[in-house]
Amino acid sequence: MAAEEQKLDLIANNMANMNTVGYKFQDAFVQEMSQVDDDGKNVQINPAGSYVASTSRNFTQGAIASTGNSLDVAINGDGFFEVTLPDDTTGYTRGGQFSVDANGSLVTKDGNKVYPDVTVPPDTTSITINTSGQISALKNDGTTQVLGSFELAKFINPGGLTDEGGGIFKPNANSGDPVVDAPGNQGIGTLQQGYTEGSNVDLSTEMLKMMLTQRSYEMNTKVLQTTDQMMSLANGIKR
Amino acid sequence: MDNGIRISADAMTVKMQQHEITAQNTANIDTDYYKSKDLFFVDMDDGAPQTVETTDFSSGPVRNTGNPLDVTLGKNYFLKAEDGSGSAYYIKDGRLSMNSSGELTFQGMKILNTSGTSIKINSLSGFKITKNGSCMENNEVVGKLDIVQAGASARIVPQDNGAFKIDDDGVAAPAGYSLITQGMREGSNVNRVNEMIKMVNTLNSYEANQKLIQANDDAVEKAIAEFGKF
Repeated sequence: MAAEEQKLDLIANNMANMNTVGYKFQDAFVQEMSQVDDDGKNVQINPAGSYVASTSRNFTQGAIASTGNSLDVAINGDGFFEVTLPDDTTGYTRGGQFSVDANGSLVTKDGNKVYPDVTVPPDTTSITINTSGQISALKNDGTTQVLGSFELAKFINPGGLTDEGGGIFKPNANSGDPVVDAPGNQGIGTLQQGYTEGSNVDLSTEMLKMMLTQRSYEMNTKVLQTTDQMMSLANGIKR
Repeated sequence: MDNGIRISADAMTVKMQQHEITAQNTANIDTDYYKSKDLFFVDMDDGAPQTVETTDFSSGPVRNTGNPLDVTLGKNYFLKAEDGSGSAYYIKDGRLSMNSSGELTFQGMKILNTSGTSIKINSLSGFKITKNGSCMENNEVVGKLDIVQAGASARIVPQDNGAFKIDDDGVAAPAGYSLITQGMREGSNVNRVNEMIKMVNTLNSYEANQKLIQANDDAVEKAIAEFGKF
């Protein structure tokens, strides 16, 4: 039952983040729990129910929707934006809702600076980001200045990334090292300005998972009640 | 009468064992790839039945996940894998992963191809597994999964990591195999209705045996109290 409760938590979180830009849904990897004794002839299995062995993020592409906001950028395909976190380490995210902070730096929704640094001059009228990540500013005087370029990072096993929360991920031994390149190179996805990537949560799947989890929880309580009745009967042998 | 009590007590112990298995099956009613367990009774002439625990390897209901690392194999077929120290394991659970070198793994164990080595891919987007187990990346073959079938008398032992060990002469590579499906998962093969019925029967049986013990106990008491009267 504890496993079913944990699954419900994940489902609830997925449903709560149905509309969060760049959200990737989580799944529970449930395994049977048991301890096996094998002496070569007889196998003794000591059952212990089930447990959530691990949780994983599903990194399939979310639907891309137009926002008309020039600093919204969606990744079409594989890859993550690189950002500099408050502790100066590099984080990776799919969330492409950018803005310009008080210092003119291009930052994410949480205020993390885009890596490599991009500074937007104060006399900028509009910003253009092409599919290969190049960022250029149209200035007041009609001239165009290239401000820099987005680099995206690809991982051989994105499912293995460490989940830092808030849509930020960090590499580790399981995910492999980041392969960094311009969008469109080495199988990395391209960028679309003025669009955001929606969450990849499928509401009907989550609802179905929720119903099944609840029914299973219910069935396990019946088993628990029966065990209780049996123990009561055993106790009742001696009156 | 003491014999009667012993027989009923043994029966109650066996019923409790059956209930534990029902509890385990119910706890795993939603666990993907779980194979339900059952108690097989052998009638003994002088007492409660002897029991043997069996595993039902039939396939659970399959569903589409679209995840290129999910596979279903079909009843009695296993993937071959090896752990860090080279021990062989057999996999029924098709929730595969990749490690940081791009090798196909299950719970840290490397899945083996027919040459006995691991299968390495560069990216999931072009990764396909054909029905007979050939692994392709962008239409180029990168290896063929070593899929084996357990013989009818093979000794299949579940391990703590979710895989199985099978004694070596119990496996064979099946000819003409083409059942593997990528992008689908098998659910638990526990049948809810069966488990509920088993549970009700177990409870009734448990209660019946309990009453028998009480009846025998009463008889003994009577024997002591009445027959011993002077």
